[in-house]
Amino acid sequence: MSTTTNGRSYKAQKVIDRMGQKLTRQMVGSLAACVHCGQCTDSCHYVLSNPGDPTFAPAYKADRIRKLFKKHYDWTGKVFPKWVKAGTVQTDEDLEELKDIVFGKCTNCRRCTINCPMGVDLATFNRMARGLLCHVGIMPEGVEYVAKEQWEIGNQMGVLKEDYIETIEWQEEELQDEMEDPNARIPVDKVNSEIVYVINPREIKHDPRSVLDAAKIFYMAGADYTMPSEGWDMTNFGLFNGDDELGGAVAGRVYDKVEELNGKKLVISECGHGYRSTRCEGPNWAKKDIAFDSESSVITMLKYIKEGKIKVDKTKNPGSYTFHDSCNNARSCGLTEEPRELLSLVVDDFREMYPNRAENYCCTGGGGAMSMAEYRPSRLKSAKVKADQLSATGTKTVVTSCHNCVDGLTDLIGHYKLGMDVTQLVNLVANALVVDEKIEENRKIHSAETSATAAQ
Amino acid sequence: MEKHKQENFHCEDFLSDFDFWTVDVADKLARDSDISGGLTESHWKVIMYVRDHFMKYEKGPAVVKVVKDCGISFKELCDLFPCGLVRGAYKVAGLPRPQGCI
Ligand code: SF4
Ligand code: SF4
Repeated sequence: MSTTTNGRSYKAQKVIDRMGQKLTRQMVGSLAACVHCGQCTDSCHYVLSNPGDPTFAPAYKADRIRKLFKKHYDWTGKVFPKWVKAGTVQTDEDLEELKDIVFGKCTNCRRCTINCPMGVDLATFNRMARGLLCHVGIMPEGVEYVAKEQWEIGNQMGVLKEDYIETIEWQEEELQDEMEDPNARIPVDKVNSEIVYVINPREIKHDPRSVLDAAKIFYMAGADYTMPSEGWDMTNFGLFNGDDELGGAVAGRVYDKVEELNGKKLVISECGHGYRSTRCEGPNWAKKDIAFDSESSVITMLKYIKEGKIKVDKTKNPGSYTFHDSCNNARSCGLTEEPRELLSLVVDDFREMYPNRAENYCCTGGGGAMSMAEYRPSRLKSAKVKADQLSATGTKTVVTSCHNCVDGLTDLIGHYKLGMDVTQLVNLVANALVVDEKIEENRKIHSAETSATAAQ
Repeated sequence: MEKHKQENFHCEDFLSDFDFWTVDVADKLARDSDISGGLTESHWKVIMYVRDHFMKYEKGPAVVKVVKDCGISFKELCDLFPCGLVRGAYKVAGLPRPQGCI
């Protein structure tokens, strides 16, 4: 290991130096404010699922970062280093250890934040610490891989443009078949549209049913919308790896495309971190003023029902349902009521889980944890509290407005053998659509067209 | 059997090493993925397609490719692999767990 003149590894020195540039006023407040009252301890799902292990406590984890701040940037650490537990990182091994805490023991879910009387926002400086480590190449392999795909290919799953376009064409054919309307479209790059609809690459790469479901809803609502051929990935690994540059590049691609197409509004499909990144944090990372509106597709679907643009029949969704709030939607963006209102319109038997809304527990796959294979056993062990919370609802299906939560929940449901299904609002709304009349109408028009052609 | 040992499975269920895969391993993985009644010719067509794609590109194929190139519908794919493309077909084909929101 190469070292600097003070015996510290180059990487460790870099982390310390860079911390000075990254500290914001808000972070300094959070780093200085903790009074070690312990009130946040029981708010963390890692603590609740691993009783007796103090290393999972939010304040303990925060202190691994806080000690660096105290030692190098806070006057108290210079005057009373022992009292305030100032400390440093010396070696690359120290950085690896820090990595296992900031990536492996915290999903940046912010549940401790809202339970701290001093307003300490651990998730914010945990993200900063992740960024410092990534900058010197220390991060879980999966995080590195996904970030690279997003930088180089433009979406987190390395989906090629031709596969994206081919998938949309394929779903367009499905839409035509289901609606019996050969003219039904999923427009791509249509300029001046009211809505530009952006999605999670998972919808293209692995399961396009949500693309078709959204298309059906737009079709029935008679929406003027388009999907963009570029800048269509609204997810953002910059939120997870703490790299504002990546965050800005990814969000910037989305914004640039909306501007190029002269879209009026950006609609973001159901994804918690994507929504937060694209709607809330992105303009800041991309250093850009956004002239167009943006909203979650949850709001769009709800408006369609309320304005009578689509009709739904909740008897089409039999069974019992509970709702899981994504951390980013609920705690960071306040999107808690609209999803419930929408869910209640499309299912009959909706039962809350407890706690809920901003107090809900993380799906345990947040903060990019789904891509960190090395921490998976510990993540699933820490999902015990979530599994208990889900099974206490006695429902068959858990609904969530986040693609990442779908996968996090699916994993833990399998692991704890809960036998529940996971779905999203878009699937339930599409399934509840009242379409028979429209199809009948299409059938008539189409058969009239066919006989007219035959008569020629 | 040696190759069924837990340490060869990364993330509990996906195979950690693509080259550890054998027909026997595929059978075991199929049972873990809710495929009852054993692997049929239609399963094998998808499995070999997915493996071939991974060997060429070091990534699993997008679902559109699987459906078009294997000549099946999405519904047929889900009937063959009830856990879906990733937790079903990729897994039985011995691919490592893909990265990202999965
Ligand atoms: S609740 Fe706030 S002040 Fe109390 S230990 Fe936790 S972070 Fe520190
Ligand atoms: S942000 Fe969430 S996971 Fe991290 S320490 Fe706080 S409660 Fe625990």
